[in-house]
Parts: sequence; C-alpha cells; structure tokens
Amino acid sequence: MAKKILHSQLEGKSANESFGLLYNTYIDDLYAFGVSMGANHTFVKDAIHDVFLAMLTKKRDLSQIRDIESYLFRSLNNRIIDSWRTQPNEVNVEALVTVSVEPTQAEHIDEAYIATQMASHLNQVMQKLTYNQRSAVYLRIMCDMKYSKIAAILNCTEHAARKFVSKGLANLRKYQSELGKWIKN
Amino acid sequence: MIKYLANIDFVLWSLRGRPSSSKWSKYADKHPEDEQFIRALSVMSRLSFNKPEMKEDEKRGLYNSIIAQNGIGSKTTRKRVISIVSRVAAVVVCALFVGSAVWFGLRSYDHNKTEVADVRPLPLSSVEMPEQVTIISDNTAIAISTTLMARVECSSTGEIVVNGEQMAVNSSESFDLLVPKTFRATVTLADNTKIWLNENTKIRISSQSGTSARSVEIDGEGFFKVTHNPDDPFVVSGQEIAAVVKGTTFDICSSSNPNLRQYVVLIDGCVDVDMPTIGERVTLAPKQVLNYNNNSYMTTTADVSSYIGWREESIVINNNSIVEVIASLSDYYGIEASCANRVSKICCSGRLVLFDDINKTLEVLTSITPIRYEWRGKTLYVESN
Repeated sequence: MAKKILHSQLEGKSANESFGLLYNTYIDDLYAFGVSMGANHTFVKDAIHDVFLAMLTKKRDLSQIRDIESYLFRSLNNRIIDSWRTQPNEVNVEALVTVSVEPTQAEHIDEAYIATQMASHLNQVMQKLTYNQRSAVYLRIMCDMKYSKIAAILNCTEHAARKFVSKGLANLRKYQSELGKWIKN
Repeated sequence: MIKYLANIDFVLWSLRGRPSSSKWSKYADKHPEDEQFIRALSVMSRLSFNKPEMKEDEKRGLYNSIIAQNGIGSKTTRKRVISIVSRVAAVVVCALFVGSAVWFGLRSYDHNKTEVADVRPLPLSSVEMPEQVTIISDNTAIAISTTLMARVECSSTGEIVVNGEQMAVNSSESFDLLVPKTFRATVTLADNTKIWLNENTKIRISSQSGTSARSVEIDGEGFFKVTHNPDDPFVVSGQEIAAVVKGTTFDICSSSNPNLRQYVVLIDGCVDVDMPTIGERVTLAPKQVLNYNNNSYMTTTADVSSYIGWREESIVINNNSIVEVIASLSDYYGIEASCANRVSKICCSGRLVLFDDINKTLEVLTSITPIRYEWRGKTLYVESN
C-alpha cells in the first residue's frame, strides 16, 4: 500500500533530507507500479530517475506540489505512456499474483494445483485488460488509493476512474466464474 | 470451496491480507465450522500479490545518480545538449586543424625549419594495458611479474626491486607501472609511502628525486598510505580528480573508463580533493566518500570496508548468494564458472580471504557453506551438497 508523505513532515528538513525521505518512501511503489504496467525494468529505472530529477530541478519548493504521491505516480505514468507511443511493442506485463506450490502435506497437492491455475488465469486476465483498466485496478487494489487520486494519476475524471476500476473488476469477475466451472469439472 | 474461489471479491479480500472491515471477515467469525471456506482460505494462502522490487544497491545507485546529476538536467535534455556541444566542438577542431596545418606549412616554407619529435610520454590513459604486470621506463617495457601480486620497492638510492629481484630500471627517472586484470601490485616509494594497486590500474610514478618526488598519476584504483611530511604535500592526480595530502590513508578510484565510478575514500587523516574541471576543492574527514560524476560531486559518510575490501585480498560478503560470490571469484581469478540452479538459494555473510591459489579459497568457502565444486576442464562448476 502506498504511503502518504504530508508537507508537514517535510517542514524544517533540508532539501536533501526531504528528497531522501520522499525517495525512500516512494521508490518501491513507483518501481512496482512501472514494472507491473508492462514497462521493462531498465526503462522504469530511467523513468524514475527522470521523475525525481525533474522534481528536484523544477520544483525546488515542494509546497508547489499539492499531492506529492499523485505527482510522482502521474509523472511516471506519463513517461510510460510516452514510451509506448514510440516503442509500442515493448509491453511485458509483470505477473500480478505469485503462487507458492510446495505441498506441505500430501492432501494439499490438489490445493497447490488449483492455486497455480488460479494465479495463471488471474495473470492472463490482467494482461487482457486495457492499460487504463489495468492501472486503475492496480492502484485501487494494490495501492488502496481513492478514486480522486487515481483520477489525478490517470489524468481523467473521478467518474472515469470508477468506470475503469469497475470494468476491470467485471472482467476479472467473468473470468472467475469460468474458473469456478473448471474447478467443478 | 469452489463457490468461494469463483468469487472475485473473496479472492481480492484474501489477496489484500484479509482486512477485518470486510464482510468476509465477519463471515469467517460467524461460521468457523464452514470447512469449504477454510479450504478456500488454505488455497488462497498460497497466492500473494507480486511486488517487483529493486535491489538495495540499485536503489542506492539510482539515488546517487539523481543527486549527482541534479542541475545538469534530465537524460533526454542532456543528450540534446551533448549533441549540440559535440557538433560545435567538431567545427572548432576542424578549424584548429586547418589553421595549424596552414601555420606550420608557412613556417617551414619560410624558415626551412625541421620539427623536433615530441618526446613527451603518452598520456597514461592511452598507454596500452599488457597481459602481465609491466614497468615502462624510458620507453622500455619490462614484464615483471607472473604471480597475482607484484611487490615493487623503490629505494632511496634509485634502485627498483620487484618481488625481491633488482630490476634494470632506475627510480631516478619517472616510470609507469601497469597492472592488468586479475593482478594486484604494491609499491613502496623512497619516502616509505605505500601504494596498493587494484586490477586494471595504471600508475605513473614521478622521479623519486627532485621537486616532484611526491606526486603520482593514476588511471584506475589505488589505496595510499602516505608518509607524513607537512612541508611536502603528496599529490595523486586522477583523470578528473586529484588528491592532495600530507600524511594519511585513503583510496582513490579515477579511471579513464567511463563505466567506472570516480571516488575518493578517506580512512584516516585529512585529504583535499581537487576537481579542476569544475574548479572546486573539498576537504574530506575520515570515513567520508566523495563521488564524482559528470562534473558534479557528492560527499557522504559510508562504510569504508566495502570500498577497500579489494586491497586486503579479501571480499566482503553481505548476505549475498553463492552465485554472486562465485561471480566475484570468477572476476578476480579470471576463470570461467557456472553454478547449479539450487545454489542461488544459499546465502552467506563475512569476509572471504582470497589466496593466490583459487583452490585454497574454494576450500574455505566449501567448509563454511553447503556447496561443493569441481573443475570441468578450465571451468569451475559449483553445486549444493
């Protein structure tokens, strides 16, 4: 879940200390978001580099940024979208769900098999979502963000953000009922 | 079980760590006897959200890079600036070349003068790295060591002794010492200053007599233990940084190879670091590190042992996997190595002493970790016990 840094937490700190705090707070979430959206690891690292550098050079006064978390995610998201305009083929969505399959007891082998199939299908369905649906579902479920914040990051209205999440979940729901039939068989 | 697993809300509730505010938590409290629900939870306990993470050193490197480049601009802006600057530079170089050709042509035509060959030595970065540790003096190259460690001593009378043997070169002239990959060297100067040289390092040691007796030029990494002399500072010139000291212990890495970082690490005493390109001088305190990159620098306090581990003929392992340790040994000894998949799960910490004989080092490693090794031709193969 993404953490929130308030301006009050940065008061009284030097520019370097503030930057260090912001960097340490958000680096993991930004990296996970970038990679989970399908950008390659090297590109995400370069993009995060540029996002923080731009914040340092252009926004020396952090109070100019109303919501730092939205600002960082939105900057990274814009860079990822820009990169796909020039290199549309480089999309490799990272698995949303991982599974541990080592059986602890003999009767749990079935469970491990079902869990593996569920993870595989969930990841496939996530890949089939549109970019906006995937990022909205990710920010809502993984980062527990409010719709207003998701709207700010995806540069859309709050209504549109709700629609992206509900359509994404509808797709997941549809798949899940199919998986239910498969398990019965 | 199926009705629960087929319900996406149940699946997401479970993946999100089962928050207590959800209706599913209340259901679990009310129906502890529901075996299907418990089995569904058991299946879900095997699933978790994937969160890709950067390694700690990658995060640190990225942070340092951002700080170092603050003020220079983003990568895209920089590329544009570099492109414009290189075009302007190309035009200036062409103009200078044509201008100087015309100038020298006219001079030789008018005065019938012959040009004297430039006898100055090549810049250190242009000297080609040999395959063995080599001394170049007076344009003569002498391979001096086939062992992994070369010990060079300069006496006050001008003699140079390598691994106990006296050489046919004299330290009253300046000389270059070239240490290629997988080798190391130590140099003791006439004033008893001691220098440890890492692999892939070139050093130009000025004449051990006269006014420049306490100055060296380095392209690579060296650890210096400088004899105290407050009246005569010792100067170590790197590619873009220089260290001026009067008696101290420090490590400097300054290479013409753009892939290597440039830094100065102070162990004790005091060192002034000159950065002539940006016209700045910084005084370091013990345990401080100055990183220099793209015309900017940053000083931090750091664990110096990770910087100077190479000098002590050992490597510092900090919860690294055996695969990473074997990769370091492969680099150090210049051998090919491969590891079985299961080895990557084994981690260890500590300081591993690097003997001249790799088998001795591997015996130490196998005695403290559950691995074994064998040689398949010239390739080292490592697997778990």
